[in-house]
Amino acid sequence: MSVASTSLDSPAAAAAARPGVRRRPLRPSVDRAALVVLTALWAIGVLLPILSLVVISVLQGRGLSFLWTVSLQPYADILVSYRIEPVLRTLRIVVVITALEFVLGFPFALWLAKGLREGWTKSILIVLLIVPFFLSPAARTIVWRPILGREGLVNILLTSTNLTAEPLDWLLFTEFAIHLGLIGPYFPSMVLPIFISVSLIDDELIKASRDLGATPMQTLRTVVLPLAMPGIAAGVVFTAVPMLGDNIASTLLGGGQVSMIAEGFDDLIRAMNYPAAAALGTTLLVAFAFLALCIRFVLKRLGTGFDIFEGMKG
Amino acid sequence: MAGKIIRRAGTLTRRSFGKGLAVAGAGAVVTPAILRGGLKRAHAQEGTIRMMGGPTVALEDWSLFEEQTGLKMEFTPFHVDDVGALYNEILVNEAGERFDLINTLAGVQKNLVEQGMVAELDTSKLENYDAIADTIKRSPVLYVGDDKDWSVPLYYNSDSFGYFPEKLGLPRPPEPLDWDLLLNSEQTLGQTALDGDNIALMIGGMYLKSRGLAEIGDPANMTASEVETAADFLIERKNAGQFRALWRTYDEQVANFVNGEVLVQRCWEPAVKEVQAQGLDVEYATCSDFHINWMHSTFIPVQAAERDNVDNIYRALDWFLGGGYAAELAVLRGYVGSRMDLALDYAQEKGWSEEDIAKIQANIEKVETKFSNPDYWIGGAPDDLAAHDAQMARFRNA
Amino acid sequence: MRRRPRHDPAGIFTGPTAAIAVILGAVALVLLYAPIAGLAVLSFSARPLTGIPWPLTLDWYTDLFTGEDARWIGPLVTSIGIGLLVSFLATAAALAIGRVMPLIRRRGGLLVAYLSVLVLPGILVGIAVLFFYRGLLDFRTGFWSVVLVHFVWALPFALLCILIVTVRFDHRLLEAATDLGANKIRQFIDIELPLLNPGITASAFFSFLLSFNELPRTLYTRGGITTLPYYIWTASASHSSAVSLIYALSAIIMVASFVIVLIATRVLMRSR
Repeated sequence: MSVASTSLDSPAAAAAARPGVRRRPLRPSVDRAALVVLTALWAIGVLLPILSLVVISVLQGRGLSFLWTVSLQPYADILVSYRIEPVLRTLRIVVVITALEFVLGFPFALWLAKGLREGWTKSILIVLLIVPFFLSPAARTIVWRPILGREGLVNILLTSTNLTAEPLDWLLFTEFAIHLGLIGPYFPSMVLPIFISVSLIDDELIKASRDLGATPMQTLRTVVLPLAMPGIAAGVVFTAVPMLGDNIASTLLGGGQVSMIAEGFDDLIRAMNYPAAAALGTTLLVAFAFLALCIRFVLKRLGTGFDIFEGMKG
Repeated sequence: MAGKIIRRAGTLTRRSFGKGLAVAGAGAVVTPAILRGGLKRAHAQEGTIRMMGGPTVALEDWSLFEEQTGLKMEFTPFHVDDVGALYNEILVNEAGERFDLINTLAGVQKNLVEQGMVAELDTSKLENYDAIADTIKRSPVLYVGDDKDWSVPLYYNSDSFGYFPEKLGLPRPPEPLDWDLLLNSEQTLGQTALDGDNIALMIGGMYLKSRGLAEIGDPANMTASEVETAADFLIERKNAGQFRALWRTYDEQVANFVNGEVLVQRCWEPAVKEVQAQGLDVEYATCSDFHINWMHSTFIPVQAAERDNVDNIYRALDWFLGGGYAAELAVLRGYVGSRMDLALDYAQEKGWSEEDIAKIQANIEKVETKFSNPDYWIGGAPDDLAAHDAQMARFRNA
Repeated sequence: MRRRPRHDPAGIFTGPTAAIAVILGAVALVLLYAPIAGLAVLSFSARPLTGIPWPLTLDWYTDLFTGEDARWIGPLVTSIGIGLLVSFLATAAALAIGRVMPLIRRRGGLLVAYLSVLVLPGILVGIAVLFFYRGLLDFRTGFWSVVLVHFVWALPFALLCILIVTVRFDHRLLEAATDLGANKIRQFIDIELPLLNPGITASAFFSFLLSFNELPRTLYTRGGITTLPYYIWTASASHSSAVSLIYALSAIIMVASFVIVLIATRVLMRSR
């Protein structure tokens, strides 16, 4: 219901309009000043401290006393297979789960926003998606153990119905358990942003598309998807990023058999090896910057401006 | 059409938005006030002792402390096993300015002594201190080697592993077992669990040392090459499928026993008590080869030693060395207090039940049996922490 | 669909596709709520750590409100307070940034500058803030540093919530308003705010929730502040009954947050 006048803009039209956007008269300078001031504060107060990690990562030291000599030892410490493998493993798991969340979450968010009348059912579903944020992740993750364990619920069911002769060992302390444990907690972070962005799409727009003879699939592809893109992008970020740092599922469900990034960081910091922790962080930053550049390059070659500003009104 | 929709949107949301804003605004104004109130309490009034320590230090409540010393206790639990966070709390957050007593896993405080954060104890102000056994006072986790006393032992214990005697067909304690059962046994393959932190490496080191399989000086404080040897051994066992899981927390230990994940598990003694109470037939092993000895100790931070309530601080500290605390703790957690002799006196004087007195006597015996092994004390912070951590990462990833 | 036009005004869903969407969502919701339901049941167990619900007891609940064990209330108040403050600050900042960002040329780079902090693990952000402010500038950590790291955590998310609505905001509306003689403040209050409101609400909610549950960043910057996640983290390290109390505490927080959020949602929906 928000942007009534977007009515007949197809993404193609929007894209066509983009290059030649009429640069609108600049908004009052107060707005700009606010942006400049906030960004400056952010750069000095937040980005600068974080960049100081790069400095720390080439120092030597233990605890809070650093030797002010440059050393690449921290990088040598982390560029070993048992530090890199967990990073790659984590990335793989995060990509898989994020994709899975999208498959599970997008249709659901769409239905929640456009297929369900406002009422108690809708309210309760939305609330059910919000409540888990309030709960201690550790407490609700460890409860998987009596469910998945050797003598847990699932195995009792399987063996008592003679589906398997022996209890299954791989239900717990495996990558399977971690995947299973991650799907639930990160579902709301995928659904909610998509739900918001789809809710914002004017019903009239979808009706118009239908009246013009589009099939639901066509409407979805040409109307809903482009307009929901900011929500999808936000959903992916909301889901993938916190999952990268998740140390609960890997610890409690991996049982030390599947090591992931977050544990590595926790351990380096617990060992007060701050330079190595900083080096690992810096490596991660560089890897992401590289990845972002690659994606940008590829998209440029393909000629699509696939970003969240897509569908923006020029 | 557009106009109508906008107008509708306008009325719908301005109201609710205003509401939300008002709530958030009120929160913003009220919070700092509440928090400041919270902080102010940190400057305690006369006669209050502020202590920071592991949650296990605390009895069910502090009424006994308050009754016996006439002081108030304000206890702040801290995650003492996380040494990095603890050092940060003391060195960076200056916990000494907010606390009168700081409890740590003994051994951790030795670095703090070096850094000048710990006040030297005036043992003449502690009635119950002198009679503590020298093996404890001069144990490697307490003694810095300068003939001075820095930290008071609150309680100690010697750890081993829990096991199912029936299922395994093994004898019950005090009949001794050995660590092969946990680390190197066909019978328990895939059904044992181990610590998920540095202590696993130390156990590996102790195992190798006790069997003469490797030259290891102090398993609790290994050099880089020693710790690599220990990790190699553990990785070999891990690849052989020995371990079902590595744990980090107490609730994991309990869950592993109850959900049938393990037959043998390296764990804390209270975890065994917890599952016994659930009716499981689990025992805490007595071992013939070694035990892991640990201690919780408490020091006075330098900042506190200059405050005017220092006499009260010593009075509080002395209480922890008295019979009341040791007796209560022995029954509650099975840990050994510094002065079990006083504990026995206290329990008899108070007319405790025979069952409880037996628990105290069991503790006195435990000191004689379990602590007769070579002194494998673990002190939380080995000198080459980075090497331990690296090898632990390697072990976990294997 | 034709029978119930209000049910499905958009016409994207036919019967089978709606069923698929519901089933997919249900699968995820079951995976989400199975352990939470288990948690709720175990909070009534005499020995919750064992994962066996019986014998049943209310002891943990009564314990939560008596004596030493009632100490979670202070941390809860602290967490709610910090959450509200962070929610307010992050949403205000995100609004100021987000409504201008789509209009400027270097918005891509700017967005990256705000989102890049998300890449670092939380505990490292805490360490960075600690080193910079405490180590280099010698500021004492405390309330402000906790708010700062929570703000750093919440702002990128808040910004995304705001951007979802601002990228679709049609600035021609403001031009029209100017033509009709409305001043800037009226334009902001009467046109922008209502249209941006879903994003603002979402931002306020997310920022609060992110702050409320934050632990790794808080660990190293907390000074003397005890937040609820920190309190629970400490309690879970104990070898005793304190661990069991977490179950009951979680159950209470779950019911309370369910009721509060449900009322809030109904009020917001009613006002439509």
